[in-house]
Amino acid sequence: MDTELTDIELFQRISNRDSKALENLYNRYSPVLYTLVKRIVVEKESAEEILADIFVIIWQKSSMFDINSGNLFSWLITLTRNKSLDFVRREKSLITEEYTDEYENFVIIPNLSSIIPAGNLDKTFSGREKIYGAVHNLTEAQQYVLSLAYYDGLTESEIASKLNIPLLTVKSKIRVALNSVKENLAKEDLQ
Amino acid sequence: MIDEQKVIGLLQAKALGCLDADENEGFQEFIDAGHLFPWDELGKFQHVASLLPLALQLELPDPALKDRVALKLIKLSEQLRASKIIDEDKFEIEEDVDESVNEFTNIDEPIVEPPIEIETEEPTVVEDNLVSELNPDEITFNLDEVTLPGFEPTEVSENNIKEPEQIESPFDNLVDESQIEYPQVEEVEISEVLAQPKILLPLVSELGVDEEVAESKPEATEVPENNIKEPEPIESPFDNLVDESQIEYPQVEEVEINEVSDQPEIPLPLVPETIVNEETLKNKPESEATEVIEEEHKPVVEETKDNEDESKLVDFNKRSVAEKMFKAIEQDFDTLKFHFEETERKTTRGLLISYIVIAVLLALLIFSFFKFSSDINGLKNEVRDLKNKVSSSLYDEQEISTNQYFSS
Repeated sequence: MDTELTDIELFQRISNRDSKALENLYNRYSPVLYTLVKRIVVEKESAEEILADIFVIIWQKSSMFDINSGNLFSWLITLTRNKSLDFVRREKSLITEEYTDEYENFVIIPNLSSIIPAGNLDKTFSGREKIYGAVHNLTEAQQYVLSLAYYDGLTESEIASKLNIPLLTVKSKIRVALNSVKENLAKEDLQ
Repeated sequence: MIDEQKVIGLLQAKALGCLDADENEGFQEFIDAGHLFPWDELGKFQHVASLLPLALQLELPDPALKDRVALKLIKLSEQLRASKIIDEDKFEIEEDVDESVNEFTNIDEPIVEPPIEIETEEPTVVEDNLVSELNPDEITFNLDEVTLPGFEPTEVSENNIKEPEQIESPFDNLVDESQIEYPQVEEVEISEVLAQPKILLPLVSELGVDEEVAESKPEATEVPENNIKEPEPIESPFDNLVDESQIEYPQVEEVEINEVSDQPEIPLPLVPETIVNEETLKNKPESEATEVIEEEHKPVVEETKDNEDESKLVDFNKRSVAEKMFKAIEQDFDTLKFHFEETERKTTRGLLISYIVIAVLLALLIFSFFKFSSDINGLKNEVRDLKNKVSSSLYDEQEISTNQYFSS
């Protein structure tokens, strides 16, 4: 049902408490989101638990997504990353703050720019190979720094101390790496 | 505060979420200060960052996870509902207390204020009510597809169920708490309904006469099945979350338990218990037993040929059956409980006895150990003494003998 609906249309239905739409969204997004969660959390059981939590958040907090931005994909990916990193940090006792509804609203729910390129799963998924190419065109060092920042959730200072390199080098690498990926994707009309 | 150039340099790190705390703070201050901010650039970088996971090798989640998500949503809604009920109860109690306190304070005469005892309902009671309310027949969630841990479906006689007029989907709580309509538990509880009949029912109902009467006049009081809308078969675990407007709830308008419970006020022909000789019936097969009952009750049934009376008799018989079933279940529980306690007592006693025996054996062992060791020491001493004596004499003898040998 409603497989031809766009992400935004689907999400509007979820906002109107349409459970079928939520199921449809799950069918569409669960592989990508689960892949991301698994990459961050590693453990399968925890990853599944987090993914379930994410869909509960989507159901409960769907109103917090700015439909006018038109980019549900980025919102969901960022939400998933935030939730997964929060789990990992709590496991390591790096976060002691209680997980409240308010905390979830301010920390877990993404606060994306209102001016963001429109994107949906179909479009981005079709250019998956190009994205893969754009990322793997980076130097190993750039990829590693990017990975530490995005998947391990380390800050620039933490990356610098972990790799024992100057902070400015880390900043530079991150800047260059993301610019490079952005330009490569722009060439492929994926940006 | 950081300047615009620096902000532009931090956009990538901001999009990746790896800014240090102080920089993030400065970044936020810059935005809050109302400076011109490159939102579009930030948006682009955020979009690029969100594309990074697509470069990973895709992994598929367990298919059962979908059910777990649905289950989690159901549990969440139940929790919300339970907490809402508890909050409402507390609020009502507080209101009552305020009223009673006001009554006391409004009295002019100086009185000693008695301590106000508030009897709050245990949360488990509310939960129990909730569970009974959320039985699988009433909700649209397909339990065949999702396994609820520790859930055992119970069969409830359809005739005795009074459906609430508006059954809220358990997921309505997820929409907005203010939208929740809580079914009145008082009306639904079967125990209250069962407690209402005051007319002694004939024991005939146990032996199947009521069933025959019911067959003869089924339209009188039985729930017309046509009036009950069965929920449509649902395949997906998410169907339970369907919007309220899309759900068709079964509506049983004419068979409310309250109405049924009101019916016993009409006097019924009471069949004396002595008419049915239960002992004789027990010794006979069912068919014969029913025949005997029929024969014994013919005059009574003939007197009550009026359709309404018969139909009401059916109701009472059904209710008495239900009542007896409950009693039987209660008895079973009591028996089980008794056996369990007895077994537990026996086990405890056995354990105590075994502990005592072990302790005694241990003491004996220790005692014998010390006794034997002292005996052994004594024997050793004796042996040593004997050796001393014997060896000297032997030595003397040996010395003599060797002297003899060498001399020879």
